[in-house]
Amino acid sequence: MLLFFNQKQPRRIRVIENILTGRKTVSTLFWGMRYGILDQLGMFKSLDLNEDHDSLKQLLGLNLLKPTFKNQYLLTQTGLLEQNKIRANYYAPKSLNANFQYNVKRFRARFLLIVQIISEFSFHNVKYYPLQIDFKDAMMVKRWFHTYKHHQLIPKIKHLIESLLNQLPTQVAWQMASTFVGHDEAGQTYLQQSLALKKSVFEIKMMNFDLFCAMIHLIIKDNDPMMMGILNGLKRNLASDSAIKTFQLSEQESLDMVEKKRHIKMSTVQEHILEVAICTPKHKFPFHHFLNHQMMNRLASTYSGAIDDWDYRSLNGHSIDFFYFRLYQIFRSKL
Amino acid sequence: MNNYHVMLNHALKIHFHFDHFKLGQESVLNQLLNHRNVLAVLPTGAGKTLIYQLYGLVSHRPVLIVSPLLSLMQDQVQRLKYLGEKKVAAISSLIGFQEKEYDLNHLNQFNYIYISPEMFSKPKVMQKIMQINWGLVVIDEAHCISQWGPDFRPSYLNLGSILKKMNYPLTLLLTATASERLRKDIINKMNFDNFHPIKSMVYPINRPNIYLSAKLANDIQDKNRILKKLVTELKTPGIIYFSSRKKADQIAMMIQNDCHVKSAAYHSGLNDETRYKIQHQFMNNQIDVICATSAFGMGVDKNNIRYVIHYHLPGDLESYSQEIGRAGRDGKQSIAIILYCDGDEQIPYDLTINSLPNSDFIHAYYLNPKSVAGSNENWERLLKYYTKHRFSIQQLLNLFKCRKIERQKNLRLVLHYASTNGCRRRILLRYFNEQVPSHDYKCCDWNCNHIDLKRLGLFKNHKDRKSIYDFNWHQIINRLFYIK
Repeated sequence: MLLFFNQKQPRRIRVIENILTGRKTVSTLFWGMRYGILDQLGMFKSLDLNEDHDSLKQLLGLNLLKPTFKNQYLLTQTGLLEQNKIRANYYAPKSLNANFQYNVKRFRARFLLIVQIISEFSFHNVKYYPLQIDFKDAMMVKRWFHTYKHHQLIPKIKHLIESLLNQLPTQVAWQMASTFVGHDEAGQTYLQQSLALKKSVFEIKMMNFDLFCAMIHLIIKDNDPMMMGILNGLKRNLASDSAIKTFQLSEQESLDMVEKKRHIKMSTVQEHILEVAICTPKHKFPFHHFLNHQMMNRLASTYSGAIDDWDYRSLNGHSIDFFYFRLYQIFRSKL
Repeated sequence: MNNYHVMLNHALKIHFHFDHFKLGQESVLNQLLNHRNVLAVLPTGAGKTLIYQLYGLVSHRPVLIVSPLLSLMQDQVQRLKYLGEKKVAAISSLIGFQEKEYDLNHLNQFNYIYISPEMFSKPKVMQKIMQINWGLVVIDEAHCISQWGPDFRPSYLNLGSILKKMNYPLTLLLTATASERLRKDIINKMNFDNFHPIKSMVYPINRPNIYLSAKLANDIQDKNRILKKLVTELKTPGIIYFSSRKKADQIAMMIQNDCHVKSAAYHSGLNDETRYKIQHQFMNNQIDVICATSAFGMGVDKNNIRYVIHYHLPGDLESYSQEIGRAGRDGKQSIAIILYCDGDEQIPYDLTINSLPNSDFIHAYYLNPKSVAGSNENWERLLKYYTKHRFSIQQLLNLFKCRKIERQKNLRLVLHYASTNGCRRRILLRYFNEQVPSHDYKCCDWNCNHIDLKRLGLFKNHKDRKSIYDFNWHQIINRLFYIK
């Protein structure tokens, strides 16, 4: 948990928890972006908050963190040293950005089932207990398997896995390999892997998540239609469908019209647009459509320095809505 | 009455590759094939699933199974699929909307449908179910119908009227545990009478190959010490039952570290993937000891479990006899041990108190159900049922008071069983009105200062398991995919 904190930027534990468990409010998304942890959104669906509050107490007790204000914490000098020590042996995720574009959890579930089915298929065994995954994904896997089962499926999937694992340090590769279930292989649980690798369950889960992200990147790079089929229907935008609808409409209509047509409050319209702005790469979001030159100039002349420290109240007298202030913060964050 | 002996044995051989039925299976099947409703009391491990599965196979008619435990239902569906029966589905709140819709719209294509009693009571589901001409309706864990049973479920009370609406299809009520009083109550609640008769078939619960023992500890530390000694010395595999998930996690870790056996926790707090892995590692003998809550075991078909230890007191002798019944299904010598120390009865006592709504809650609910919404879903569900059936507050208070007294009585019986200086088997079997065999050294720990594991043939057969990992991922991948 210490790794989520910074010596200069006070951080809220609630934001970190909400990002990791995938609770998406605009405020969470905004601060998640500011903390640079948005790519970890929804990585742990069931994070034990109580346990983490205990560990927070511990970190404070050891003087690794210090409270600033409103439940925000800063890393102390001792904390920084400790963080560096941890980082030296800590798994550094490299592929989490796949989480922006694909539903990694569902991909992982599909992939595990695919490995199991192909493993059993390679042993000509039809009598086994398949992993239980979501009905829709299980149906997709079934169809996919029947389409390709006579197309060199066994060596191809083996090759795909090996080409990923060959690039990894031995223990990391073992972690991924031992996650799989197959013929006479029950696989290892996160807890068992954590005991074997002498790492925390948290780190192991993050490692595993990152490796499945890496697998997505590899499939896209190889561009083999068979393997690309596993990704069918998993493409996603981090922003909600509803937010995207509002945003699309707002590109053609005034915000007042969007409010009427969508039958939602103006505050919701604005939240939707902010959500899309946060979740979209900068060059793909039309900031200038919402922030005209005049407004940009005014905001630019009012604010400089650390974005987190900007105070909306500094705009007093300029009659600029908080929505535009926040949108400008997002714009500047993505520079 | 026709006897289907030859046909049934032939079917048993062809479909299950067994030469003989287990006690009770054939007799119950014979009754069903003669169109007689049956209430069968069969001990855990007697092969209850096989009865209705085989009935479906020989009658070529669909079977509907009402089952109270959602996770168990899923396990049973998987098990039937594993055994080659693909046309099987479970309709419960555990499955997603799309799957449920699909199943309901294709009901006539399934041979076996599992359904939860709550789902069964829904009008839309009911309507679909009524359209099928069921060959057999099975009510599993039928003791849930009775308020005197250990796990009464109000939604089970609807089943009587549902069967009536279905015009009394052939029905099989199954339970592993039912005293005479319970059986009468079940039959009564299900509206069976002289016009719609049902035959009770009761088979003994006694398992002579399970040695019975209990150990009194001074405190928790002492209890853990005794447990560690037992786990170190006992032949594996084994199951240790807990009332709390947290404790199951802690002790699994303690055993793994201190006893050099492979252990893992298993409970509903783990996700599906982890539960799958633990269950299959246990089945493949890669794990020696499972530290579980009571959810584990039902649907687990492992014959060679050598011991069942209860770290916490069970709530009643019915569930105790069911849980220890998971040991020694292969007929070989096994052992069941309760560990307890003073004050342990508080846990099941608290569970009893907490499982029923208190007076304040009931009053608040009757005044305005919304005022307590979301504070305790189980209590709300219970009260929703009773208000629907027009119970007054006073009636409810009396009813819950009776149930609390009943459960406390059950708990006292467990304590009596655990603390007796006499023969434990005698206490257990007397409770179920069964004949008590004469005591011998394989019966229980009466007059024994220590359990002679060597004499029982239960002394450790496993070498210390030390976890050695070579992290050779190539080997794992090569084992996963067989390429000629």
